[in-house]
Amino acid sequence: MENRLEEIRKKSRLTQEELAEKLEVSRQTISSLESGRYNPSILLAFKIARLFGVTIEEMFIYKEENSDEK
Amino acid sequence: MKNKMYLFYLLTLLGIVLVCTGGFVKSINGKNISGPIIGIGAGLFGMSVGSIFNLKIEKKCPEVFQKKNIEVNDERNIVIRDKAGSRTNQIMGYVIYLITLSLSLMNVSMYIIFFMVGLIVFRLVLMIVYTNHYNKII
Repeated sequence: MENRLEEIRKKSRLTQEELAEKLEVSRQTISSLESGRYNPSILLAFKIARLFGVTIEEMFIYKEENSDEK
Repeated sequence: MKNKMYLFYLLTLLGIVLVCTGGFVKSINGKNISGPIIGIGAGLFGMSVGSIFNLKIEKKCPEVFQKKNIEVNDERNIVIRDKAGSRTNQIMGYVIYLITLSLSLMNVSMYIIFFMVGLIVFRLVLMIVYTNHYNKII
């Protein structure tokens, strides 16, 4: 799953550390989310979307995996 | 928090008493209990002193304590811990099977083989119990 967290965070002039503090998660979690290595729980996804005033769909882009690639 | 602090001071004292007692008591009914008493005392002492330090940090630097709490409860860290635990359990399962097989080939006492098989069965039972438990609550 891709996301626009880095782009939206930078637009809001927040550092990873500040965002982590607001969301009460570690800075590594923010870094992993931005690089796409980690997909958040639905609760964290809601928290992120609410913090930036966007919908979950605007923040996280769901792409169906191609079954041929498996 | 104050009550907790008193409890840990009491446990620290108990740990020191146990370690000191362990040095004097050599054996009871021919059984050597000095080592276990010192071990329990040292464990109690270490755990209590650690907890006292934790409580003092919580009181003096709440921001450090909050950061530590965030690290512990961070959902990614929880996922990492769960995955690491699950993989460790899987590997330990194979290790137990291998040890049991090796022991049975080495013609060791039947009691030891039964004990090892018991461990395998216990692990299986635990897995079934927890699978059922989480099936109900998730």
